[in-house]
Amino acid sequence: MRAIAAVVAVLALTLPALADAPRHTPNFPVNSTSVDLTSLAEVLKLVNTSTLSSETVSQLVEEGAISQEEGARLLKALNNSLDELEGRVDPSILSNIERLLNSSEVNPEELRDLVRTLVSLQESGLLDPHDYIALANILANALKRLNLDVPIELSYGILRSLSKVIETSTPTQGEESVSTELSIWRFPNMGVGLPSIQQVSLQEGSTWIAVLLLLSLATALVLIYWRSLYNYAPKLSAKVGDLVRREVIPEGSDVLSIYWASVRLVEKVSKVKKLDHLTHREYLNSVARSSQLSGTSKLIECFGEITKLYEVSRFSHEPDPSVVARARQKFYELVRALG
Amino acid sequence: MSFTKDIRRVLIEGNVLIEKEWEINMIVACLLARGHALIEGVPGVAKTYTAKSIARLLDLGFRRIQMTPDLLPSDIVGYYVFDQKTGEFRLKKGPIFTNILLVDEINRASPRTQSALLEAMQERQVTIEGQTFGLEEPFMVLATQNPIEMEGVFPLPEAQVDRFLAKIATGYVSHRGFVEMLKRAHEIEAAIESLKPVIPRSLLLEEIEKASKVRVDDSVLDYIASIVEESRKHPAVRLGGSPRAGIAVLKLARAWAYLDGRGYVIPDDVKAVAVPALIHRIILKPEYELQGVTPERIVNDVLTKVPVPKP
Repeated sequence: MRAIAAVVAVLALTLPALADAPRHTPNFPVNSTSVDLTSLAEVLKLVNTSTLSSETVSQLVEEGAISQEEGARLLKALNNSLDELEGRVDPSILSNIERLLNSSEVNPEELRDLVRTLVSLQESGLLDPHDYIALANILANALKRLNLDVPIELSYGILRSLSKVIETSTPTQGEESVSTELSIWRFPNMGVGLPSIQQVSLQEGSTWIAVLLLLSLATALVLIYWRSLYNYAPKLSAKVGDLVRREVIPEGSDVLSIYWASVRLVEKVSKVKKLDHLTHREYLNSVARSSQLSGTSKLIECFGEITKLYEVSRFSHEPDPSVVARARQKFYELVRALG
Repeated sequence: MSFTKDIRRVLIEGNVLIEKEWEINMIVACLLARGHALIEGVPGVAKTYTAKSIARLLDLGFRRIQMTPDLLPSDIVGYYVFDQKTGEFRLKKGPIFTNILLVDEINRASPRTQSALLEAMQERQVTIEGQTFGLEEPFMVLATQNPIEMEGVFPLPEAQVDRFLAKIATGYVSHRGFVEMLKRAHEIEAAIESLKPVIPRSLLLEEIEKASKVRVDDSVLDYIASIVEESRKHPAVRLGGSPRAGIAVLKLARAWAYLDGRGYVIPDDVKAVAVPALIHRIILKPEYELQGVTPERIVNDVLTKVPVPKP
C-alpha cells in the first residue's frame, strides 16, 4: 500500500514541473481555453491523496521521499477537502458524506449509494469536478476505514464513475473531436482561465498521468480487495450485519457531533424528522410521542440525556470535559437500546 | 432559586390557585426581568387573587387601584395637602408607592390617568408637583383588562401597551379544576390571607440581579432578532415587533431560563416567552382581524418558520 501511495504521491509532485514546461495541445484553442495548469496539478494531487492518509504523508516526509513543504501541501489538501464543499453541495448530501466520514465502519451498500449520488450529482451539474475529486478523496478515506472489506464491484464502480466525470468535464469551447480512445481521459475544466498558454501539449501528457493514476487506484483497490478476502472473509458476513446497527463516534468528537449523530440515528428509527424550527427539546418530545418507539424508554432516556448535554455544551459557554465523556457513553447506550 | 419551587408548592400543590401555574410563572418571570405584566381575562378568573398571592409570598408591598373613568392621576401618584397645624404642604403618597401594584381594569381609566403610569413603569419614578420620587425596588405593575368590555373603556395606546413586558392571557379552568375550586371556594380567601413569605425581599433582589446575568449565546440573540423581524414581514401584520419587543423577549427569556434553574438561555425559553412578549405589540390588518386571525396565531406562525440555532 505504502509503495502505491508513494508512487502516486511522487507522480503528483512532478505535475508542477509539467505545468511549467512548454506545451501544445492539438485542437485545444489557445485563447479560449480555461484550463489552469496549476489548479490541475492541485486537483491531481487531491486525487493522489485519496490513497494517502495523514500518517503516510508524514512518513513519506520523514523518509525524505517528499519535501516538508510538499508534505504540508498534501496534508492541507487531505484535510481541507470536505470544508471546501461547505455551501456548494446540498446539505443533506454533505451530511451523509460526513456521516460516512465520521463512521469508522460503513455499510458497503451505503458506499454504493454514495457512488451513485456522486455520479448523478456530477451529471446534473450540481457538482463540479473539483468537488467530485474531493468527494472521491472522502470516499477513499471511508473505504480505508472499512478495514479493507471492499467488494470488487464497488472498486470498479468508483473507477467507472471517476472516468465518467473526467470524460464529461472536457473543455468545450472551440474544441474539435478527438479520438474515442483518448476522450475518456480528458481533464476537468477548472473554470479558471489563463490569458495565454504557450505551446500546450497537455492532453497527451496528462492522459498518461490520468491513466497511471487510475491504474494506481485500480491496483490499490484490487489489492485491497484480495487482501481483505484473504484476511477478513470469515468475519465479513458478521461484520456487515453489525455495521447496519453500529455507528461509532470518532475520538475527539465534541458533544455537538455526538448529538447530531444521535439525531440521525433517532430519525432513522423513529421516522420523526428534526425540522429546522423545532427546538431540541421539542424534537425530543416528538420522538418520545412517536409510535415507532413505543416501549423503548431507554432510548428516549439516553436521547434526552444527550439533548441536555448538547444544550449545556452549545449554550452555556462553560466548558466541561466530563460532558463529552457522558455524551459518548449515552450515545453508546442509545445504540445498544436500538438493539 | 428555591423560592419558585416554594411558590409552586404553596399555590399550586396547596390548591390555593387552581390551574394557574403558567400564569404564576410568567408573573414571576416578569418580576425577575424587572418588567410589568398586563393580565387579560374575563372577570372572575382569579386575576386579582393571583397577583395578591404572589405579592404575599414574596414579602412585597401590594396595593390595588380600581380604575374608573373619573380617576385622576393624583389618585395614583399622590398629591400635596396643606397641613393646617404646621402650615406646610405635606406629601400624601399615592398607591403607586408599593412593590406590586395591581391596576384593575386599566382600560376603564381615562387616557390621562393611564398615562400617569407611564413614567412609573418606564423610569421607576413619579413626579409630583415638579418633584421626583424614586419607587422602591422591586416595582411591578400588574394591570388587568377585560377583553370583552367595549363600552366605557379607553383602549390602551400603543406607547402604553409597549411598556408591558408581557401580556398574560388567562382563562377559565377546566371542568375538573372548576369542581375542585368549588370545593374550596369558601376557604380560598382565607388561604390567600394566611400565606406567609417564602423569600425575604433582600434575597429576592439578589435573585433579580442573578437573573439579569443569565448567559445568552449569540445564536440565540440572532434567533430572537429573526423572530421579531419575521413578525414585521408577516402578510397579516400592519405593525410588527419593535426593537423594544426584541428586548422584551430577551429579558423574559433570561428570566424564564433562570426559573428553570439554568444560567443560560436555550431556544425553548425564547419560544416559551415569545407569545406573551409579542402579542400585545402586534397590530393586524383589519381584513385579517375580521377573519378572526389573532396576534397569537401570527406569533405561532412565525415560530414555525424561523429555524432554531444550528448546529
